[in-house]
Amino acid sequence: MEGAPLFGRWTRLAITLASVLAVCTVIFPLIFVIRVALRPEAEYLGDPTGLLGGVTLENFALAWQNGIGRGIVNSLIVILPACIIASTLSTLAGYGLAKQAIPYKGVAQLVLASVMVLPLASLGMPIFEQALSWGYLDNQFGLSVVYGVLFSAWASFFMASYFSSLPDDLIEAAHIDGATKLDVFVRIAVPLAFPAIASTLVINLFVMWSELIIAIMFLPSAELQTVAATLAQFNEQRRSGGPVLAAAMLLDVLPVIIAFALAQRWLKAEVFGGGVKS
Amino acid sequence: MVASAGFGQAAASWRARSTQGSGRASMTGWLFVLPQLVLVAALVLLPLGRVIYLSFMQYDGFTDPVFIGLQNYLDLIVWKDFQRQVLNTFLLVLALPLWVLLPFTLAALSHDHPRKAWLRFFFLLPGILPAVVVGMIFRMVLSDRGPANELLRALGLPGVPWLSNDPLVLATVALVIAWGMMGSGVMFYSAGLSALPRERVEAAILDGANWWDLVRHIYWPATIPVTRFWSMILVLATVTTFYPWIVGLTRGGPGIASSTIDHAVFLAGMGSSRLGLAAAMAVVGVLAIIVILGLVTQLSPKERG
Repeated sequence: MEGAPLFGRWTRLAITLASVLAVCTVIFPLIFVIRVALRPEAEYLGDPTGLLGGVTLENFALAWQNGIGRGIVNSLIVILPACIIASTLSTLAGYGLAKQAIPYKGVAQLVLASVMVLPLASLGMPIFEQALSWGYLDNQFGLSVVYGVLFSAWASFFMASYFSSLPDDLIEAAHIDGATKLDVFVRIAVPLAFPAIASTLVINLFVMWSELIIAIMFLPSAELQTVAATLAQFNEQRRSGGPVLAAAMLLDVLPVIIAFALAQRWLKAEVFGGGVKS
Repeated sequence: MVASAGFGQAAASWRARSTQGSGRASMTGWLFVLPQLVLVAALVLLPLGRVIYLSFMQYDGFTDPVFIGLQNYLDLIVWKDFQRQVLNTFLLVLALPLWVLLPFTLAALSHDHPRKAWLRFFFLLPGILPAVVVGMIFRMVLSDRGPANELLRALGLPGVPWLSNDPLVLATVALVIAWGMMGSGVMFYSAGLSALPRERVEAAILDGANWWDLVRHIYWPATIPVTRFWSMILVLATVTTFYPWIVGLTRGGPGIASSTIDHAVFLAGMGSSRLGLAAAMAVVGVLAIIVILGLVTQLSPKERG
């Protein structure tokens, strides 16, 4: 791959052994859960750890019918608009923070930074209270807006760091040509920032998909609940675990893995490349 | 924990925030930031203000709130359960070296390995699973008749009460979180190591350095910024984002042996009729973050260069 091996044979063997051990601790629990999800319930009850025996897809059908299918659809209904709201707000704000000389910029940055570190658990109850008194409780689009706002704060800093790497000349040239600020933003900045915008979309998709407390409190009706909330309550019904719960977990994770596989190529380059240099 | 990736970028840009800007200072620039700030104020800061207000009230959600001063906070301080939850949070922070060294070691192992891409794929895998699911997976794997204990018994060892023994359950939580956080950690450390010039490594090997020397004298020093940043994320996470793991893994049990501050806030917000007390807990959660951020910025060495 990258030229000659750096180490002697024994060191390489030791490194490989340690790596294989680490990989095993990662995949062993996953393989176990996948196997449990494929076992007939009766066989599982007789012997919870057996790896042999029958294979069935019935658990997935049961999990899907018992709320997970509805939950996945609800999650998509809530999260897709929420991601768009978050990315819209943060693209605007990021551009403002990076490319506009605005007075009292520090205030805006402080407010957004504090939202970024606020514990979600502390916000669950007050957001519930407010939604109740303002009348948008149990409303999926209401949750989309709340998510969109909550998870746009970090994205604004992310977008600001991206925009600040764009050369100022580009923007000044456009201004000299008589374009308004909004023109420059829409026609020059946004197209150039598209990879960064897409990164915020995908990362927020992951974060919102697993968000628990606000989802549970905001959507009390079972028919409206997101998949994360449904799964957490699934656990309540079958506490010791079992094939249907295992299937429910895998169904919950499947969309995340698909999104990860699709996004992996440029997520790596865009997000994880330059972020930690200091 | 994929979010922490973006968080890293955000933190980096916060530190090196740009002072550039085109044109003269003008209020029209605010129009870009305003939509977000207005919504943040209405949907986040306003509720936050309300929770602070309620924390000084006796309030059950139905009748009008009655001002009782600091009574909710005093009740919290003497409440044995809450004391235990605070203690648990501090005990969990002791696992910080594990949460830092595990991803560092894995990144160092896979750095320059011929099967690098494959290894990293597997190391990143836990990072994309939602925390509740990670907790639930290990609830199955570590249960009394689960595969981990059956394996131990097959080897002639006694089974371990991973989830049902009072002090031990905290160690189990720390281990499961190490597994769950590993993906993001490996990602950051790999990025840090990939910035390392290969010539430096090769030169060290020509000088007779073995793998352990490399790790100690080159890999670890080169990734100190990552370690500093990653430790901060971990400490913040301990007080803010551990509850999904706990909900999936132990539900705080046995009793409240594995319940933490954020899990307490989570439970209080959801199921309490004493909303004033729940509000006080939520405020304590916020205060904990402020204190920790203050400590981290005071204690962390000033960056050189």
